[in-house]
Amino acid sequence: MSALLEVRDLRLQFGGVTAVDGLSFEVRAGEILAVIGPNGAGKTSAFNCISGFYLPTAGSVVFDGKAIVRTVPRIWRRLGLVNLLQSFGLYRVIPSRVTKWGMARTFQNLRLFRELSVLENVTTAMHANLREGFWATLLHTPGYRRAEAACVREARGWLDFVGFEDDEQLYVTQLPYGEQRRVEIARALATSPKLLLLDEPAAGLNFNEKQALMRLIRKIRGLGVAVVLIEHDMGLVMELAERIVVLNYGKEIADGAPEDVKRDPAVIEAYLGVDESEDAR
Amino acid sequence: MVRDLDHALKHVSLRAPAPRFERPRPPRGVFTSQQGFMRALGVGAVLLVAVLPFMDASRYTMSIATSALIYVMLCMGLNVVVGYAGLLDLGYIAFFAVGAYISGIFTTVLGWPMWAALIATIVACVTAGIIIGAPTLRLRSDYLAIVTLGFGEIIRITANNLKITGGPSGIHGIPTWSFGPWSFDDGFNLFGIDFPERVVFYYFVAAVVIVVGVIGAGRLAKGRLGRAWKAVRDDEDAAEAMGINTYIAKISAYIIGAVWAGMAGQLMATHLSAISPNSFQFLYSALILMAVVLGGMGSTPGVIIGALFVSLAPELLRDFAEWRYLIFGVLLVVVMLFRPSGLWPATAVLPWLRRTRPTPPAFTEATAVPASVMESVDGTPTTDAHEGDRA
Amino acid sequence: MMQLIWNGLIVGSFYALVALGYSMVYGIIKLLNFAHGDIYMLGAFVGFFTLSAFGISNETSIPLLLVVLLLSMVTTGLIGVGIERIAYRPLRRSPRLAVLITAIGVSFTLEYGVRQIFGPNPEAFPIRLESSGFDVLGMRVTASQIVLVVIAAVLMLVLAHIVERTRQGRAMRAIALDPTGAQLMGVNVDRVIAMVFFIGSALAGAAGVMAGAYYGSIDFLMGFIIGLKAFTAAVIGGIGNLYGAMLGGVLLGMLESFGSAWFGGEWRDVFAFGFLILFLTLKPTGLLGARVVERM
Repeated sequence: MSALLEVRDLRLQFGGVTAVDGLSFEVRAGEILAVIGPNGAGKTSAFNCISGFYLPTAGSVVFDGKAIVRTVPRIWRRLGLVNLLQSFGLYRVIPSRVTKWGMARTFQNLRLFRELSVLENVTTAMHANLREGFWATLLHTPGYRRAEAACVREARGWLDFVGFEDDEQLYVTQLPYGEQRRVEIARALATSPKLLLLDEPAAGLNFNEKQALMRLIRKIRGLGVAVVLIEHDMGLVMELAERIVVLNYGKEIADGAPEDVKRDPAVIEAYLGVDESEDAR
Repeated sequence: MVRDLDHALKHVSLRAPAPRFERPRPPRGVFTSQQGFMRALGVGAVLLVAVLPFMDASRYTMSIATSALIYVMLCMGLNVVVGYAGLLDLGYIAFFAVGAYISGIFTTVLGWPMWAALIATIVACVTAGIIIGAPTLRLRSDYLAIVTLGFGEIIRITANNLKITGGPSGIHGIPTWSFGPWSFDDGFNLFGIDFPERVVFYYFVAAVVIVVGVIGAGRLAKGRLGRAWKAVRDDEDAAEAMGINTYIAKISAYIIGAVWAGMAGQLMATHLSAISPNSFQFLYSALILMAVVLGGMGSTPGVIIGALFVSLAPELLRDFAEWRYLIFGVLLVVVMLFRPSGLWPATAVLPWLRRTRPTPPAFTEATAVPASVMESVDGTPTTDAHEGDRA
Repeated sequence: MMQLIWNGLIVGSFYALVALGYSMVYGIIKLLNFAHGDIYMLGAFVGFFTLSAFGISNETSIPLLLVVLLLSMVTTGLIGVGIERIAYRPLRRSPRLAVLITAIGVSFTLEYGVRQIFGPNPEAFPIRLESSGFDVLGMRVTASQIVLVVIAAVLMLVLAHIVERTRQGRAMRAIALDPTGAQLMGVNVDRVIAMVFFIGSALAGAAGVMAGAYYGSIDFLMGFIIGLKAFTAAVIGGIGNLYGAMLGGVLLGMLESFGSAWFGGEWRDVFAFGFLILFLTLKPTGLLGARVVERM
């Protein structure tokens, strides 16, 4: 089976700091992969490169047969025009395009639309897939009404899927933290992804909420969606992930099944060296 | 329903499972729902606008009322840019100027009829919106603010210096709307009631403002595009991650704002029949912004109230005319400090409809969908038995 | 040719002084202080008010100018601190749009407050620098022009010294990089921000007095255009960078001076703003600004 996402030699430098240093891994369709590593190991930076937010210094990312990182001809590099060209959307794939190709993500700190209701948060995510023209919106044509109704129904389906049981008309800021997390996942699912990137989905959740999250992630996998998660909660990762990639200082130090990774000496060293970072979670 | 979905959603590989239960239809009464109440309020406002000439059709009243309506149009346009998309535009009056000047030049110098000039105006405003928006909308929002400020000044200075715009004295003798042999100047006689030209024009302006300005902007804000604008306003990165091309969303808001202002500019040029660069100073951009902020950014009733306040205040409070700009300035700071969402916030809910704590949906209502299809995440874990393969 | 450069240098030094305040405030709290140009206007009016109160008019003394300059700097500095305390500090954690709108409100309040006090018509500035000069290298230079340029240069050197060599300056740079981190390291963030506002506003006030003496007339809207120009200067040099602001100010002054010579004076402002848009499009970080990676 060919890989859904293929990351090769990904490298990202901010000024003098190398956040990601030659990372390679692949994600197969419909699997649950966990990316772990001590704080500051470059996990979120790697996520941001993969989803198109950061422009990596080198390396390639191929998603579903399409290149997310584009190579810039050397002449532009020589002329120092790379940043200018990329700011105009040339030689890069913007995050919204990546999402349209079927990769959705959540954020480490909740990034819901604070002034929209729960339902609107989810319907907003259907933007790219929704057929709704300008004039139809202005004139409220029957087609527009049907599209809106369908869109709301779909959003409710996702809200029910993630187990959201509050009032959908509430503003997200009125919800407890755990519910906001669920809405964020529902929102990501509403973009109808093939691959879902979850950035620390369990952070700040209590035991019961974590159990529910694990069931939810399995359920998402059951839909045929591959899930990649960054997580600090080892219990959750070991139980959930089918494969684990371990990062330290921007480098990949292990890649394999949970049982193998647990026994890997390099991983033990990385974690024992910074023992408190794991315990802090 | 499923067919509707297929039609509405394109190339989707993953479809949501059906909702666990059908939601009850929301109430639609005037006092039982927000939407019904707002609709009733809107109808009331339209009636008020419609009967005004029967109460007082004097030249003075009609002139002020027409100006106030044009202000409403302008503020609705700026509301799209600032209120919905969260882009601070400090040179908004420039688009108003573009509209006024293009229609003025096309009707006087080139002798086009007004409706043809309107098309030219809209084209010019879309172009102006793209020219100014395309380079700057990639930047951070505060850069945009100052660039638009500079753009406003560029337009004003250009109008002041060019020959075709009449220099500092501007353009005079802009004709009114005409259709074939009949023009607004001829007035109108219906059922024995005589409508002088100013009243006819007032009705025309009112119709355009209400239909295009208020209803149109409100509808756009509720649809796909409007959700994208609000998403960009709330969190640009998250919006981008949700598949919204934020650049396109921002530039579309900018263009809509420009077109609204351009139409308002054309109405103003026709209304006053003369325009000069002095009517397009930064001061007026700031006044429109104040109207939007005071009323409530992103809130249609709020913005209308704000527009009426800002445009009518100098007429109603003649003694304060000297002080009004100072008062507006202080008011702007005070509002931002103590009530940043304005007089009538966009998120306002009628007090008797306010939700306290949500009521969890009752399981007994789960009807249409078989239980095996959807199980609660908090209940028994399921790894299969879902509708994912339907797609 | 040399004349154009010299004229550009003088105007540019005004721009640079105002741009410094813009750039410092932006660098430290990421706020575009729209009211900054109006502080410049206030500086001119404070000078006007004090001199008129003593019944001085048509004076040409340079020591008197220096006294008024200092007085205006202190007053506008304090006003700047007051504005920060009342209008900006409560909004420090609010969305950027809210703070920008507040800044517009402050700008309006200052402009029309001054209008209510001094009236809408331009006033003649009581100190008028004599225009006798001499010819150097084919350009006409007056003594007063040299004085203005020297004052501006001294002020900038003092500022550079404060920012680079003192404890307070180090605190400023720390806050610009990471406010929370600076606070954790024991920097009194509120006090340092207040100080930045004081310095920035004082520089703008100084520029206001100097412009009053140079051009001879002042009015309540004089700060609007210069605020825009100063921002342009700050962007050209790289906003948040002090030397950038100085460089940008002088550069913009020269560009304008040449622009009006080539295209005609009435297009001067269009030319300047055109440059602003060009720069923001092609090089938003300016000439000396570092490329900032926006953290998510």
